[in-house]
Amino acid sequence: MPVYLKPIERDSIIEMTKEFHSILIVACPGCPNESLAYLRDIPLAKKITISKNHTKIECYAINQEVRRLSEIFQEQGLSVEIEVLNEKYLCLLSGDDCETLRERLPHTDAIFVLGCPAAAEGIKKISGVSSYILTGMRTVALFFYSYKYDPKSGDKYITEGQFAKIQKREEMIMNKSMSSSNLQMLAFHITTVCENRCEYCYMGDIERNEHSPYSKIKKVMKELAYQNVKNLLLGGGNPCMYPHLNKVIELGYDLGFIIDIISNTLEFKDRSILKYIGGFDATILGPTYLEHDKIARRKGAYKHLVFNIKKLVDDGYKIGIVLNTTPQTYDKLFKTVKNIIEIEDILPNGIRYVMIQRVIPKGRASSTLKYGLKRDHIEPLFADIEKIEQVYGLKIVFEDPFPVCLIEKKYHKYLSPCVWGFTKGSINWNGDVSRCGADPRFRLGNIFEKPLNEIWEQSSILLSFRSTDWMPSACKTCSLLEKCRCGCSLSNITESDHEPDIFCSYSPSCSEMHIKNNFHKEKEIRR
Amino acid sequence: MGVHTKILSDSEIVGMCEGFDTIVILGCGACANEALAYLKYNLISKTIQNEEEHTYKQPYAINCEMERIEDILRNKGHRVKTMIINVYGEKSVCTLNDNDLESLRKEIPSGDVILALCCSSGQMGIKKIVGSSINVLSIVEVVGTLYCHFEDKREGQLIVKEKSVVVPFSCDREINRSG
Repeated sequence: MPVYLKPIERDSIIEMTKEFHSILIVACPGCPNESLAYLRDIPLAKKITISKNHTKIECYAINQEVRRLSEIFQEQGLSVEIEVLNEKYLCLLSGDDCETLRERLPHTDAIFVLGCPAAAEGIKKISGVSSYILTGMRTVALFFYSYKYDPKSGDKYITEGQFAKIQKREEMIMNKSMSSSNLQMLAFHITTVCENRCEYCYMGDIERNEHSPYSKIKKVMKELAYQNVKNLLLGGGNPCMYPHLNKVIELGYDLGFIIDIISNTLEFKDRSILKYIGGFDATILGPTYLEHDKIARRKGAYKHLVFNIKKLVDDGYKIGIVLNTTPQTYDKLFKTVKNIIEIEDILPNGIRYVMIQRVIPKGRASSTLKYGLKRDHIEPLFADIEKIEQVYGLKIVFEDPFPVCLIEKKYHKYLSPCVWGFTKGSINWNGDVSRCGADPRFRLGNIFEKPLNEIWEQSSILLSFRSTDWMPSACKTCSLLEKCRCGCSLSNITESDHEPDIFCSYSPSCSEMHIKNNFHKEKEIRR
Repeated sequence: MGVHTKILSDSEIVGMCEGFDTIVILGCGACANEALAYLKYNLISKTIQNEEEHTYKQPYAINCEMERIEDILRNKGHRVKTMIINVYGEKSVCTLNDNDLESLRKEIPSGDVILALCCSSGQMGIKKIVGSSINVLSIVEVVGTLYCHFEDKREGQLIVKEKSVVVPFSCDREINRSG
């Protein structure tokens, strides 16, 4: 039951049904129930008490949706009948099933089907061609999910879901593919305005004073919802400075997005919107207020951020701590986390994870490698990260990869290949798309000129990035390739769209610059 | 259930297996089975009687197709192992709980590559089970959704092609656009 469906918007429902007087809602307990459980983060099934001695297991998510629809129709003055099938899937019916259902279903002006198009066909078979059939959900993708069953409460709920791309024939044959290119999350840069003035900010200095118009943000979000994007990470600039942030978050919720936010302040004026935000990330630039404020070039930046993190944690939210690794901070990551926990009193159970980022030479840092790590920083960096995990039991997430062959095997557990360009992408308020969240060039195309799925599937930049053509030949046949994919492809000063990591010793340009001296040592590590 | 899939051509499948010695074919007894019944084999499931005279339904179409591909690949010199992930009507490979993942991890035969005879979410489920240690290649193309109309017969569940309908995804998109 893997078809992922989204319910159509309230306005469309009203428009579709305004000519009718009576309506029958027929709901399939298969894919629609699973999709809604995933979309709304509610149980798949729940034990319902009917009477003292009777309980039954109800397909919870679909029943909730039926109740919601029923209210909408009743508000319109329609008479509503309901049929939620509990065991039969509408796309798989026998002749006997059709017969039984035909007798059971009441006659109404129209039938509103909560199911996939195949389910609507099933209803046609039952009710005959004369009935007016409306489909209340649209097919978005295929999806895989794993679930848990709690025998005590009788609840069954989804623990993890992943969208699956509908692959084209050619892709399946050509790709003995290593990774999925199924877009799951977009970093959405809603503003460039930020009160910090970090020297290495990837957004650069151009147009940093004016916020984007809300009308543009709204247009982009509606298009993204239509194009089936599920997760949005609001970024900037500082999205918390955006004057219409409330509207953005509420609209996102209505459109069915899971919204995360990354900010340098986490300052929310209206706290009623917090419940609509899925995850909060905050960038801590240094271990003390002096170092943080120096990098941010703003006095009081650290205290302001830490105060807001504490407020959120006190309200029961968990915060992702984002740490930038630079020559100034590579050996202070543990100290940064330690200070947050032990001095600022933000306990580990209020921290969702510690995310490690590299600074790429873009924006204000373009044309300089001043903020990029050096080879001899790698070992102390990983030792620090391991310490964070061991001492505080915090989850470590690597946003930007390293060439795996250069890292000691015991640290490989932290590493994963770059997913930007596969499952993650980036977009600005104009609808321009970029592969990497930290690449401000937005070269892939515009969603109002070409649908996002076409950009994502056909962009020559992305196709090239997903292939191994740009990698050194030694990397193409390396057994670590799947875990590495040549590290961070924007770590070097480059105008090209992607090239091997600055530390990759097999790339001719890189070896000249950095690692000639270490080449032999490296070969030993590889062996 | 309801995803309609079409299998790649024999030459395409043979081409994908080049360079691999031991091939594992994993079939899903849900949608892919129904799609194959619709396209080729007519019977969705076959009623089987075991030694204790209990009857149960076994996915039929997917079994036939796996045997056919197995023959082709064996003739090309590959070693082939096959497995249907689920028993018909029980589970689909796209919806698994932690226990399923654990038990299937032990049951799936080892090989150099897995050919997934299921839709892309099933392929994702298989990847979840086996991890990144082995390549999982899908050999079916997802084309739309299938309304599958069947009759219960003594020998099993027989698909009624005239009453079954395939809705291509392209058509579905049109429906979505127009609301």
